[in-house]
Amino acid sequence: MIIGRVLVTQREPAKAYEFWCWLSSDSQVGIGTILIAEGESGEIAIGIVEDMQSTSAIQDHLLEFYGSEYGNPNVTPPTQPKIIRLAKLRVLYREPSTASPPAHRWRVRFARAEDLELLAQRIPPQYRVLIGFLKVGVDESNPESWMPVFAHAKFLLGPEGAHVNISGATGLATKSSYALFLSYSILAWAQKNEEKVAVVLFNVKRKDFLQLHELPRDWDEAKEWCNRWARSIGEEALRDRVLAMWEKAKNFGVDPIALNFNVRYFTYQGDPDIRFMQNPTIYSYGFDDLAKGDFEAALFTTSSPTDPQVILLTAYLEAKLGYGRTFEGMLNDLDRRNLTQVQGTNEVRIGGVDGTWMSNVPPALQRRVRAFLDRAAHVVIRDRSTGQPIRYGSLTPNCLHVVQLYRLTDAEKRLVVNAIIREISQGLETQGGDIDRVIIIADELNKYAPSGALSPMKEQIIDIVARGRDLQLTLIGAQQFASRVDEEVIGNSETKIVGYSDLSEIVNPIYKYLGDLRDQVPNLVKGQLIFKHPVYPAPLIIWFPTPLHEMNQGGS
Amino acid sequence: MGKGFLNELKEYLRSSGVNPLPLSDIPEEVAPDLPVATSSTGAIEIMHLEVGTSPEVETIFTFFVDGVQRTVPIGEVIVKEVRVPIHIAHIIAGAMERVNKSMKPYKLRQAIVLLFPYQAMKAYGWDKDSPPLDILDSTGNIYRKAKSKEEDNPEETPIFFSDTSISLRQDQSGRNLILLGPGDLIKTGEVRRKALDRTKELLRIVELGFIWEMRQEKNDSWILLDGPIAPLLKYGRLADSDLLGLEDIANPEIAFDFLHRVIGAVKKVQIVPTAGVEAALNSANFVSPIFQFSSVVEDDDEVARWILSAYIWLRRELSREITILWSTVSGLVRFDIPIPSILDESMRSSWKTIIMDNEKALREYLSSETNRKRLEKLLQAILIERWPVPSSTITRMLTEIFPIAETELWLKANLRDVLELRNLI
Repeated sequence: MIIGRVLVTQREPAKAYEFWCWLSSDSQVGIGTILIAEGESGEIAIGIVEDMQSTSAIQDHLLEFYGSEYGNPNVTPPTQPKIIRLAKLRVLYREPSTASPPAHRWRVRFARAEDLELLAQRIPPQYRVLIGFLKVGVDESNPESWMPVFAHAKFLLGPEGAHVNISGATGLATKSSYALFLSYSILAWAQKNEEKVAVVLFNVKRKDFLQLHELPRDWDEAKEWCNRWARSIGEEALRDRVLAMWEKAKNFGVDPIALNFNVRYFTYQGDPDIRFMQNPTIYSYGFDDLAKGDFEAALFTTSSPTDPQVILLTAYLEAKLGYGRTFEGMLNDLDRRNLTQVQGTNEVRIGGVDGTWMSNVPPALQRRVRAFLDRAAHVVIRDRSTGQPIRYGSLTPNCLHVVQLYRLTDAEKRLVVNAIIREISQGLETQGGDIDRVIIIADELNKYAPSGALSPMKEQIIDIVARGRDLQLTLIGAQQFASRVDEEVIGNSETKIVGYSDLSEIVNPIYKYLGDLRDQVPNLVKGQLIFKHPVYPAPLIIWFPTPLHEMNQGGS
Repeated sequence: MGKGFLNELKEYLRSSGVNPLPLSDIPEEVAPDLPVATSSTGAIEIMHLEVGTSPEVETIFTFFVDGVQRTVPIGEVIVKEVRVPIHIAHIIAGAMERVNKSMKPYKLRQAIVLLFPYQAMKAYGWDKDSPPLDILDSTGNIYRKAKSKEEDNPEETPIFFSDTSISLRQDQSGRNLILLGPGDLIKTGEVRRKALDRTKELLRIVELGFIWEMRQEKNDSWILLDGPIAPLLKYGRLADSDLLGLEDIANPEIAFDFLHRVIGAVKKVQIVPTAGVEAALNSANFVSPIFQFSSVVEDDDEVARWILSAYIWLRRELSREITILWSTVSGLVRFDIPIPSILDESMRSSWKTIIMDNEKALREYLSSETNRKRLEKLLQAILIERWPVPSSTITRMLTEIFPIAETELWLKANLRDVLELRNLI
């Protein structure tokens, strides 16, 4: 059914990549809707509605005021001015493939499945990773109202591109839920394509990634969970939408119940949430479990070190790391009382470490180490050289590995995240083994790679992000404010996703790629995201279903 | 859209040696739009009514009729060193219907007309045949021809030829009047003016025929027409032989059928009575003085004695805020109310009496409270159309009725672009 026509006017000239159209008044079109413009000779342009306007022949507010019987709000004039609805389409696909605008008043209609297949055909079937759905119908309970959107595995995971960045306000943007949906989807794709993928999720907030093992027994039970969940949150309309999307996801192989991926938990000693996990492994780090970069990340991220301290740390680690030293031993070595004065100078020596040091440098480094240890009591073993670190070898393919960070201090989080990312990247580089690829999901990316001054941890993340596609390591990073994350990290994430965010954040130039959809960000609802992927020339507004374990609130 | 008629026209223009005009030389006549009284005429003030603006008043108008045209010189023929312009006119008359307060296109009729002074050119030595197109001339039935051609070929806009050297009117003995002779061809401005005049006449004919067609389809519906009614009536015979006798109300039956539910809204008032109209301007309330003129013609405006003229200061609130207007009557609108519009079907005989003994019978009729109320209700129904205000020039904002502006917008959007018409050659 034709619902409008492309506008080719002096005021609204059609361009190759964007053009306006008018729409019939009863057509249910909104921002994010995918529409098709068709020419008389079979030309086709698939576009996303990026902006909409309602206008009329009434020139301005003065005439509108006067026209209501000189400002009488109660009057209804005998004729209602015709309201004209306009939509701006950004072109996602053009056939024939040409960079030319519509030359006539092309017909405009809703997208059908076969149109979206054209959109997907840029991605060979074996590389299609389901990343969400486009809403193409009015009835949200009908799975056919939800058309799949795919990412290209080579751009999502490498080697053509890699990394995903998710941005949005905490609680409203559903970043963690989406990261989990994406994890399922990647694992489903990997299983189908016989790729051995391990997913590592850092749990930074409450039970976001805990209880992932608690899935419904079957889809009947899933429906019951969904019913109870929708009732409990007072949004019963969500039930049909979520179930319809899961139904559709199942059709494309993303069926968490059937796939039944393993879940492994890693947490620290004394975690009060340990009861929510199934067979958790306790992790901890001793002096010898860490690498130089981990020390730098732990000691030098929040305040800039002086050069002598960095040089001393490097020399100390070269001398002591890997030889059974402990953190307590390090504190002792750096203690003023244990230093050896160099005759006739203001310099000192540290036992077992080459070189001499200005006498105030070792105590300064000692203070820094002590301050760190005071803040890292949950995860650092002070009196033993080794703890129970999470090793690359403990990763298993087609498995979700949840690393508990919730309630840890920022210093502890930095240590653990840095150590794990370093361990995995080294493992992928040197060991390979049973794992082809690792996906790391890290929220609060701004803590590890903040914008502004360089820090050791940020350098490591930038390095991994830059080399990740070669290493087969994909970082799915998330944060409230992309503007507070290093530009290089954001820039290297080929796939960008934005959920609900405040207008003050969205005006940052880092979101320029959203085009006019930027205005839509503060209006996004839960389960709705804007997705930008290299395969598509414009961002898309996508939907995804609530993860199944989240709906277990009512208990089974 | 089919291309048959157009190809025929193109082939003719090509074979007749019509040279295209340079792109920079495609003037389009735009009618001046100055609502300034240019003629004051003695008139009988029938009454003046205070028109209430009660919110309970309901609209009565369902259809809004307008006509638009675009006339473009598309080429020239050189006849013995004399350059003769060739024009193309696109003429449309149409109606929008108001349904649940929303305007919807109802119907339009259109024609493309090739215009040039063929007989004068021939007499001057041009040796080409006349165009192989149906001709619109003084033999009449112009609307009927346009309608039947459109109905026979609904995919194509009907194309006609009209010779601007010969008048559409005939003298009393039935002979055609010559408008341009061979010697006039050198006067290019005059040749152009005749083409524009012909378009104007044809537009009135098409409007007249269109209203008549509407009358057949929607006999009980009220029609609000853009512009005066009187100028149309003299084209009855030329529009459709069924309307023979509309001129000068020679056939009262036809005139009654035609006029009984049509009101004309004249936003460009050129004719005002010598006295009495100030009542519409001075009163705090909406007072409409109603006049009966003798027949007066002034440029595009015309009044007639069987059409009452009600003057209303339509948007006085707005007028006070627009200080740049300098004419007293800039905000004044004249509504042409044909006498049959205030008579019901049972009063056909009264209509004939009023025609015979105009003023006295009319006064008698209006002296009845019921009939006076009937007129008052009609004026109230007109007055509620003053909102909303259409977007237009300042003067039109004061005087144009919104649904008519919408109708004009719709019809104009159907007019072929200047360059599109130009490309016919």
